[in-house]
Amino acid sequence: MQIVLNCLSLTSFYLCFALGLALVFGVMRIINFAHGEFFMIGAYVTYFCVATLAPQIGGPSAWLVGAIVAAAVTGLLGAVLYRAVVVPLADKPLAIFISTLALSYVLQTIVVQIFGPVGLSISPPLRGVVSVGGAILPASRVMVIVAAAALSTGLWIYLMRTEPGRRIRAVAQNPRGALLQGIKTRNVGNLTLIIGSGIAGICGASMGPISQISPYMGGPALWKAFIIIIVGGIGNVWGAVAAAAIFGVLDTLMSQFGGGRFLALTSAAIMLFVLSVKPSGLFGEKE
Amino acid sequence: MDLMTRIIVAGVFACGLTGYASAQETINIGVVQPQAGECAQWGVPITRGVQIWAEEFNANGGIADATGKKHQIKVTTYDNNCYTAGDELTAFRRAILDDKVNFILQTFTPASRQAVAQIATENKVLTTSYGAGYLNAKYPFLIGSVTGSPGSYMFLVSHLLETRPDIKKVAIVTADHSFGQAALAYYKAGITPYAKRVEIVYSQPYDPASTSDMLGLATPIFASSPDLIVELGFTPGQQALFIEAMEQLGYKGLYGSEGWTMGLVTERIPAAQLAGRVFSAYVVDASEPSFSPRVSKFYKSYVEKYGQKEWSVLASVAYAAMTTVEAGIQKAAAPTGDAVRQALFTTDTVDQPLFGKSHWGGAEMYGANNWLLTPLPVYVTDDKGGVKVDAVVDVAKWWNANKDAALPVLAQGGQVSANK
Repeated sequence: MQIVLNCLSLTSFYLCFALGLALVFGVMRIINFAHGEFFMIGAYVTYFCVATLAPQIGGPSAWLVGAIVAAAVTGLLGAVLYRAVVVPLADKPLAIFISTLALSYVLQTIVVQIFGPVGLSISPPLRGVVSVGGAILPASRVMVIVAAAALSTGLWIYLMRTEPGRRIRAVAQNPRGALLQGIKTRNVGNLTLIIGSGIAGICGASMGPISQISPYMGGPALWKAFIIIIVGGIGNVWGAVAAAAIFGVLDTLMSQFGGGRFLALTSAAIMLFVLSVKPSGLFGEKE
Repeated sequence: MDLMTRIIVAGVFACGLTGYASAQETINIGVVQPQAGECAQWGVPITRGVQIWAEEFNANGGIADATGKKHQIKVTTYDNNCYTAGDELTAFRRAILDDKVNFILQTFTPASRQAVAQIATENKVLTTSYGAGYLNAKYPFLIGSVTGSPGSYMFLVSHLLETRPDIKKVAIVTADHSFGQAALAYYKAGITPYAKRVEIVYSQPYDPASTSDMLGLATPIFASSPDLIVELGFTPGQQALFIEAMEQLGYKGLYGSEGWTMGLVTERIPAAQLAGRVFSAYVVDASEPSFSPRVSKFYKSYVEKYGQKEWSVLASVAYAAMTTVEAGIQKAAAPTGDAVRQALFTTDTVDQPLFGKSHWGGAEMYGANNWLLTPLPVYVTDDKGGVKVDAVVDVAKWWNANKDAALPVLAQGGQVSANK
């Protein structure tokens, strides 16, 4: 039972992070290398809010404020990124990739200057464990599972049931066709980057209490997220959900049964295999 | 005063200044450590430890050599990109060939030490570390100036097994990288003399990337029912998350590592719950005031300068490593790598400024008698999240008594280079 809960927990970690990246990649076809740093900034914003507000309003409330502020700050960063990088460099995906890579270093350095290079820890807003069938799940992990589920469901409803969501899907499917239908693709791109970046911020707020936060935490998370969205199907949000589950189960089982040292190797090998036999990913459609 | 007299006076004054500058010859010390990236959380405190050591001398006019001449100390930092052997060598080239450093403090990571052994020796740059890691008779300018890593892992686990006979099962949790593999071998070597009553129940190395899911990592360790868990490879924050995950799973045993950042741990687990259960031994922990007034003063300087949240035991480890170099400089006629090395090796022991009389460890491990075995304080946490001294281990005595049992295990783990 513990292994099942661990699978669920790890899947939610992967999903939480990959969701925003998959959305941005799927709609805009750009690689935002600074997505990991948006995640990191979400964690630091939450750290700051918890450290300053918790004595007055309590840990859970301070964390909630932190998560909201984190989403707002990273959403704003997404908007700035769109205006400052994506629009001027439209149709130059390599230049956008390099620019976001540069931005990731800039953001890392800023955070190092403000908070220092030594890792920090966010006090868990919820303590204690939930017992299920003799196994345990820490309350702070339940929080991440809830956050990942809420983000996925919310995103699904937004994309499938709202007018802006329909526009986003239209642009993702066929940008030129959407433009001909009168959809303002620039606005859609801006909105997508704000939502995707905001999700990264919420993810940083959720993951912060159960992982060490450091200025460099974005890199490893981004690497795993790339593998997930490539295996799931580039640009396919639901493929990312499925791939997160696949890697959540696989990585948990490998750690459990003595293969922990081969996790990175296995993930990379699976990605290479999928790229070679089905370049569009397991759940992606041929372009 | 006419013009000629003024010129002569100015010339004499200038000569005097030049002579003064010569007597004040600066000692250039390089610190090769990660300065950016994830590993900076280790490299930056280590660098600061060396800088504060130098500042203490510089504030008093410099460090005196055996002739009484005082020398200012200049510390220059070089990035090795998270202990990567290739980057270590690049940093050494810059430090030695461009900046003409006399001494270098580097990592104990065996692969990194091996990479720079030749250039350090060819240029007679005394290269020390907070431990041994890799030494070789061909490279006499590589030394380990305190017990440090990875030897301390062996002495820590053996001390716990010696003093706590109720420990029957040990889990070894190490990362799958160069110093994680070294730690695994040393932990196993420390357990070997007690193999009749102690079983290693877990020793699977983990991929550092898997530490994002600490519960997944902790579950199989908890399932192996250890009485003692020894770890090496977690960052300070990961250590706190690991302890939290183990405690949530219901673990009641002991923890051992080179050091713990208890501030991060006690943010998650009440200090009283862990009192008497979390052990550390690296070189010295300056945050504990009773072991040495000098390191205690260093701790206060560090916290005053960088803040309590920036404290890491690694700062005191680097500081302690430099005090052996300090002992050599004070015994040498000139502050060169060659003269200091010779001064340190004139006898079988060194009067180490912090640890007292310390023995060179013998040549059985590395074929070179370049590893100084300083007595090792073992610390245990108290109910306020601080640490107190559990014991000071006479590691030279332990090594002489148990090296026959430990050496084959170390050799199996690829840590013995005496016959290579």
